[in-house]
Amino acid sequence: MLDYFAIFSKGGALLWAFQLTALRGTPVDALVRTCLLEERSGESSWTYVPPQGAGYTLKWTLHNGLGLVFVAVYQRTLKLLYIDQLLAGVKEAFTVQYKPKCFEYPGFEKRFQAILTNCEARADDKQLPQQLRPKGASGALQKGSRPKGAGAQREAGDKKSSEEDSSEDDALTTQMIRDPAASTGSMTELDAPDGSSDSPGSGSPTAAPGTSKQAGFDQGRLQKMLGSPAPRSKTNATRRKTSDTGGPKKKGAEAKPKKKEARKWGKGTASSDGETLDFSEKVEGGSGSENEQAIDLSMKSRVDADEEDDLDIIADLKEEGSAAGVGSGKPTGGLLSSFVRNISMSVTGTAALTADDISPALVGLKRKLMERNVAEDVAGKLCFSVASQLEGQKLGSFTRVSTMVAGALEEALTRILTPRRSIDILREVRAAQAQGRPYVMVFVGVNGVGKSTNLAKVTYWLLQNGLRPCIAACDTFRSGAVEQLKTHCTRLNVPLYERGYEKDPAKVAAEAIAHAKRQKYDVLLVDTAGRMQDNEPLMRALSSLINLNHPDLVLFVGEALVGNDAVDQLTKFNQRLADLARSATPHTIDGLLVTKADTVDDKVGAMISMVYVSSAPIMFIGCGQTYVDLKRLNIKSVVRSLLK
Amino acid sequence: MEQDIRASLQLDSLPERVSHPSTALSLAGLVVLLLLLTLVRSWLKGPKGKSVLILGPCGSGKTTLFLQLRDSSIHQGTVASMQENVDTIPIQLPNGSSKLVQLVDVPGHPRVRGKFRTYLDKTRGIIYIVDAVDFTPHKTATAEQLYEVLEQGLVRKRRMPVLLVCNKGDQGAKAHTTSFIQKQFEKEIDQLRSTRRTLGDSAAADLLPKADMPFTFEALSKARGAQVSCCGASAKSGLYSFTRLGFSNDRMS
Repeated sequence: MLDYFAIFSKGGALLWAFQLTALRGTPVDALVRTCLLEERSGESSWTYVPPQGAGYTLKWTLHNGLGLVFVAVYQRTLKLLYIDQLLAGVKEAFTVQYKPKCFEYPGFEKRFQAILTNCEARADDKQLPQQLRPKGASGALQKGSRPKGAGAQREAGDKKSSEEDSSEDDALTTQMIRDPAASTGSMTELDAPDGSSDSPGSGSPTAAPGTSKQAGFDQGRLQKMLGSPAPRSKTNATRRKTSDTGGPKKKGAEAKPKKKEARKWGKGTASSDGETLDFSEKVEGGSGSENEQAIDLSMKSRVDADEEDDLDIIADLKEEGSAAGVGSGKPTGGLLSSFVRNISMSVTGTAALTADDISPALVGLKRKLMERNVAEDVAGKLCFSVASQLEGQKLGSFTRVSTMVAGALEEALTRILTPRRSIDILREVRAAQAQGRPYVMVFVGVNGVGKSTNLAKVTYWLLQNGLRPCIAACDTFRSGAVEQLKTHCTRLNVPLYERGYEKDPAKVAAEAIAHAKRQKYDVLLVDTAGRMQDNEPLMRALSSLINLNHPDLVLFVGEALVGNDAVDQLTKFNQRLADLARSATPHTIDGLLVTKADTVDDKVGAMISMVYVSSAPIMFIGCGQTYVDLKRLNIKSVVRSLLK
Repeated sequence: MEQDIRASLQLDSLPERVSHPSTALSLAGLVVLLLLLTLVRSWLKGPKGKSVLILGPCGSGKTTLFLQLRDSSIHQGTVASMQENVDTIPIQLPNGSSKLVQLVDVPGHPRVRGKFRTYLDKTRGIIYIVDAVDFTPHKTATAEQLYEVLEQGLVRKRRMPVLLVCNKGDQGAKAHTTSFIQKQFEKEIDQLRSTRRTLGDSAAADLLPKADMPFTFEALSKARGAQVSCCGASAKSGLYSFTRLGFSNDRMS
């Protein structure tokens, strides 16, 4: 059942471990690195897939006062309902025995075994009577129809994999394992275990026992259980219609039969022949060339400008946070006791923080974040994660709860915006140069965010740093896209690789890479067409472009004005890229480029939403409409404007 | 001027004897003197911090080293750190005396490794640990992290000595040699210098004054006086010779 249980301090020292079987890979390390330190400690569980073998599910609880973490690891295919109780029980028992610099706890194993057997027995008791209940419609296909993301970690953060859904699916699986002969478990059996376990929001939201009398498979129930939106067939058809208009046109153009042309004989040349007989070299750009002149590169791009580092921001922040913060704690049990409690908390710093103390301050901060354009569920998850890390901690003397909460939130925001991988593109270009190939950057995003404009800005910056870029026009759909890039290229004096319209972007990109390699260009920037995240065929086309050509950097271009849609866009883009990849390690979004940041003064919350959802760092920020308006992210100023 | 002092100290509300001008002046003088004294004290205390930072990438053995130095055993092992470990330990110096040193083990995870900047104020030396076995796939990221440490203003100004430790030497042939790792670092930092300089980063220019000279740790010591030394170690098996070598290099005596 349970494979491994560990207790360790937040500083990294392992205090006690209980091992039933050898573990594949390093699940606990991965949990700390990819979940707890990524502000996802508020989630209920997390999945780890080792390099070889089946995956594990990890559940944890924190004791913030002593700085301890309790982790339980078990097989992903199992559903163990007693883990939450086990974690709570072990936490209580260990807290009593814990001494700060002690690493030996000899008597604890017996105690742990006792708690484990107790929890298992209680869980078995609850399960037992339900097995004999009448079974309803089969949910046999539910396990198979769950979306199989290639990265199992994404399932934990996905909006569909809440505790209830995964518990229902997995409970059904265990049910099927137990009696495969009988028709498979209905949802009615799940009501009781769900109701008594500690999982949040435990009532199953989709139970509709009255309709489960049919023997066949009920698609309506399936959709309700999975919590999916309205049936997709209608909307898909309309979307496919709009995307298919490109198709028939293409076919029509190719199917036009070639007519035989009459040969021209004789000396007499008509005036119309003058053009066909003119073999002189045409000037690049044609008649519009007098409007385009090459710009000079003397104006420095704002990427390289030093941003001022305000060291006293933290002090300002704390002051403003405490001034604007909500009052500390609501009265519990009379005026005198609340007064004593307030004094003991803020002045002497002895009482530990409870959820009731933190929640008013957090609600206020969440509202403030949402006012600054952070997506609603990202703000919620963030606040939940901060709460789980603050609960049980002791206040320092003379600090208010609101100050401490604001400080914790500020740290969390800084942690989210700190890049996890290097954002030094010049270095990576040098590395690619050393290998004798061009550095390929692909710009993806939805319609109208500013991909082509910001591609030109990045080209300008690369030119200023002495590199030789080349642009590939793989937006073969939008009218005027190729001409727009031609204009940029003439002004910047950069070569353009284009094959016109109505061509397969993946093939154009492959040819462009070969061309750049032959001509020994340093960087190749690939412009793609904007596409909505729900548009199946276009997302498939994008995925094939990326997976065929293996670019070095996939930059998602998003605008700072986007609201809650940012979450949806990035999740779906990443999901599509992962699903349609053929290899085991799909190439997902590597970096973000946030545009139109000059139009939002304070409301920079879209950056937080995008970085939280994709875990990709922000490489550049577009802050204007000229070539020099490209900046790097200044974490301190963004956090300051969010919490002002 | 007396009028101003009176007004600022609101002397009109005080009793008669205090509002005498000489008393007022002496009060003001006392306050100023106290202020000066505290300033001088903090200035004298100055850069004589007592901390040694243990930095490095994820999984290189920082917490193991910390536990080894503090408790002389690694107990049950370690997992990835979420927070820094801070403790004061007595160190035996080669000349026989012992000194109290504050060890700070900062986690290597990219999101939290920036916390070392808050401890730089009291730092006397830095230990930078790398994994000698699993070195080559991560050498670029590790070199970038080392570069970020070396370019910090306080590190350069106070010429903090840096000890490069190539850990996991107990794995014998699988571990790379110290000289190999040192050369790889020098190459990577040289490249970083050139790319960072084009970004207008003034620290890159300061790291080594001459741009055309290839970067080596010796050149850095000569130019900046900040010593960077390398040594191999195995934190798991516990090396006392390392300790002495390390701390005598750090000029703790």
